[in-house]
Amino acid sequence: MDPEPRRTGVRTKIVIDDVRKTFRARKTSGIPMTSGIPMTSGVQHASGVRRTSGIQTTSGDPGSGVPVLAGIQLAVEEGEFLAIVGPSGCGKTTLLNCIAGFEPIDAGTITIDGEPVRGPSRKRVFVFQEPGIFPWLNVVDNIGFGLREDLPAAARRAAVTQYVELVGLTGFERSFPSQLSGGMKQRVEFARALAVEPDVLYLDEPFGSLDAITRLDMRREIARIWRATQKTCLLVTHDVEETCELADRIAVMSRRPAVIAAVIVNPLPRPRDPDDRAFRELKDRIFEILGVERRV
Amino acid sequence: MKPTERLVLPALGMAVFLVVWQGVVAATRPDPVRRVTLGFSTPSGGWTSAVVVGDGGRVVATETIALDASDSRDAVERLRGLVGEHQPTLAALPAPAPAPPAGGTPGADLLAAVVDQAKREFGGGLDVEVVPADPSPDPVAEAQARATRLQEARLLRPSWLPGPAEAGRALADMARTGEILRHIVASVFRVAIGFALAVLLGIPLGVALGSFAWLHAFADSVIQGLRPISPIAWLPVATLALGGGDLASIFLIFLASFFPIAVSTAAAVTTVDLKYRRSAENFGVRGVAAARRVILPAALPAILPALRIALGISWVVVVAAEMLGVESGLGYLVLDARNQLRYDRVVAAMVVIGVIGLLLDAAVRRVERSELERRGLIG
Repeated sequence: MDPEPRRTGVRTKIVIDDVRKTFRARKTSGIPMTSGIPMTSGVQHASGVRRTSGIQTTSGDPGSGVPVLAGIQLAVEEGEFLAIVGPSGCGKTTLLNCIAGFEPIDAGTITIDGEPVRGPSRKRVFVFQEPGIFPWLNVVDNIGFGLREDLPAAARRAAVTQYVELVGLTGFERSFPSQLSGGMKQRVEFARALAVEPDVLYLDEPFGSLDAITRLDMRREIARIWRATQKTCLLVTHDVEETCELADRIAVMSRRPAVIAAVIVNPLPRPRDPDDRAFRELKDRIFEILGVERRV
Repeated sequence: MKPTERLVLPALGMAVFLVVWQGVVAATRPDPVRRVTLGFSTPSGGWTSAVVVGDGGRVVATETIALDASDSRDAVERLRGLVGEHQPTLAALPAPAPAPPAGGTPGADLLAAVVDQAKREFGGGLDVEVVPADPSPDPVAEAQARATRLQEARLLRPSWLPGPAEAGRALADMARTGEILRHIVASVFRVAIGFALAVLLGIPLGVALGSFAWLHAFADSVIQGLRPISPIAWLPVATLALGGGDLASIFLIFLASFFPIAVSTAAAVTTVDLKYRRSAENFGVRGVAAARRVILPAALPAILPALRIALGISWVVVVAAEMLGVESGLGYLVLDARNQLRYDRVVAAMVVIGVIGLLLDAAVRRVERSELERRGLIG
C-alpha cells in the first residue's frame, strides 16, 4: 500500500530541534486566593511529581525540577496531518504549548519556516481539550472573535456564516455555549480557529472531553474539514486509534523524560476503516513502540 | 420550593417582623401619663363651655362662661376659679371662626384674650394650643374632646418607640407633602454618583492589580491598610478637604465601595481560566483589548456579587455621609427628625432606607442571575 500523495510541496514548515524543558516549582500568581489551593488529584507519579491544578510542585530537591522534554526532534511538513501520541503525562501537551508559543523552552529551537517561535500567532491557532470558546459570547460572536475588529460588518458576517455552515451549526447562530452539546461546542471552537484562516491548527486532545459517539462523529468531521481546508494539523492525543484514523504520520513519544521514539508513516488510504486488517496492524505497531500490552 | 411558597414565605417573614416590632413597642411603651387639661368649646351665642379633664381622662369640672366683648371681668373671674382649683397645665382652644359672626357675637379672639388673661394671672403656668374639632351641638362634649386630644398629642409622642402604624402614618404624611421623595432622590443621586465612580475606577484598578504581580506587590499593603478605615473616620478629613456638602458625602460613599470593588476584581481576575487568556493571546488580542474582551467578561461572574455587596455598603454609609452639612437625603432626614424629637419620622426614614436597599439588591441580583443563567452556571 502506497502512502497518499502529498498535496503540497516538500517545504518543511515546523522544525523542532533538540527541545528540552524542565518543570520547576512555580507559583501561578502572587495573589493568594482560594482557587490557588492545590486540588490534589491523589496521583503520585513514580518520579515524585504531583500534578495539581494549575501548579506544578516537585518533591525532593527544590532546585532541580523534573526534566520533561529531553531533546525532542521532529519536523512537521506543510499541509500535513501529524499526530503526536504518547502515554498520559509524558509531556505531549507541554510540547504543543511550547510549539504554540505559550510556554518557553529551556534548550533547543523551534522554528517555523526558519523563524524561531517567539509567541502565539493568529496564523497558528490552538484548539483546547476543554472547549476554550467564551461562555459569555454566542456562537456568531465566538466564531468572529479572532477576526480583526476593524473588519467591515458585511465581510465579518460573510466570514462567520461561511464557518457556521462548514461546521454544520446553521440555526444555532444566536445560541450560547451553555445551550450547546459538547460536540457542538467543539465545532464552534474549530470554526473560531478556522475563521482567522490560519496556516496551522494545533489540536490538544480536542476530542478528549467528548463521549464515545460524539468523538467518532467529530473525528469524521475534522477529517472532512482538514480535506476541505488543507491546513497543517498537529494533533496531540493518547488515543492510538484516533491517530491511525486521522494522521498522515504518527510521532510516538516515550515516557518522561520524553523523546520521539519513532515516526511512523500511515500507509492507509482514506477513508479508513478501524476494522481493516492493515489498520489493526498499524495500531499494534504503535502499541508495541509505546511498550503497552494491548490485550487485557 | 413551590412557587406559592416562594411568594408566601417572604410575606410571612415580613409579617412576623412587623409583629415583633409592634411587640417590642408595646412591651416598652410606658403607661400614658396624662395631665390635667382645660378645654373650651367653640363660642356660640356669647357663651363657651370650659371643661377640665383630669389625669384619668374623666371630666372633673364643667363651667359655662359668658363672653362679653365690653366687659370680660366676670369671665376672667370664673376662669381664675377653675384654674386655681384644678391647676391644669394645658388648654385647648377652638380654631378661630372663619369670619366673625355678625352683631358683635364674641368669637375666638375674645376667647383667646380671656385665656391670655388667665395665663397672666397664673404666672404663665398654662400652655395653650389651638386644637381643631367639629363644633358640636353639645359644647361640653366638644370641649372634652378637645382637651383629651391635646392631652394625647402632647403626652404620647416623644417618649414612646414608634410602632409600624406610627411610622406608616409619618411616612404617608411626608409622602403627601412630597418631602420623602425629595430626600429619596437626593440620597439615590449621591449613592449613584459615588458608586459609579467607585466602579469606574475600582474595576480598572482591580484588573491591573490582578494582571501585574509587581503592581499588586507595590499597592496591596496600601490598599489593605486603607480598606479597614471606616468612612465615618474619614468624615472630618473629608469635610476639611472638600468642605461640607455634596462633594464630601459623595466622596465617603465612593470610599466605602471603591476598595471592596478593586480588591474583589483583582481576586476575580487571577482566577480567569488560562485557556481563555491563551485564546485571546492566540488571536492577537492583547493588553487593554484583552482586558475588555476576555479578562473582564470571564471574571464577571465573580465580580458581580462583589458589586452587589459594595452597592449595599454604599447605601449603608449614606446616613453617615449625609451628616456632612447637606440639607437633603434620607440620612439628613434621620438626623433632622431626631433633632425635632419626631421619632416616628426617624423610623419612617429607616423603613425607606431599608426598602430601597432591598430593591437595589434585588435589581443587581437579577442582573447577576441572568448573566449566570446565560453561561449555564445555574439552572
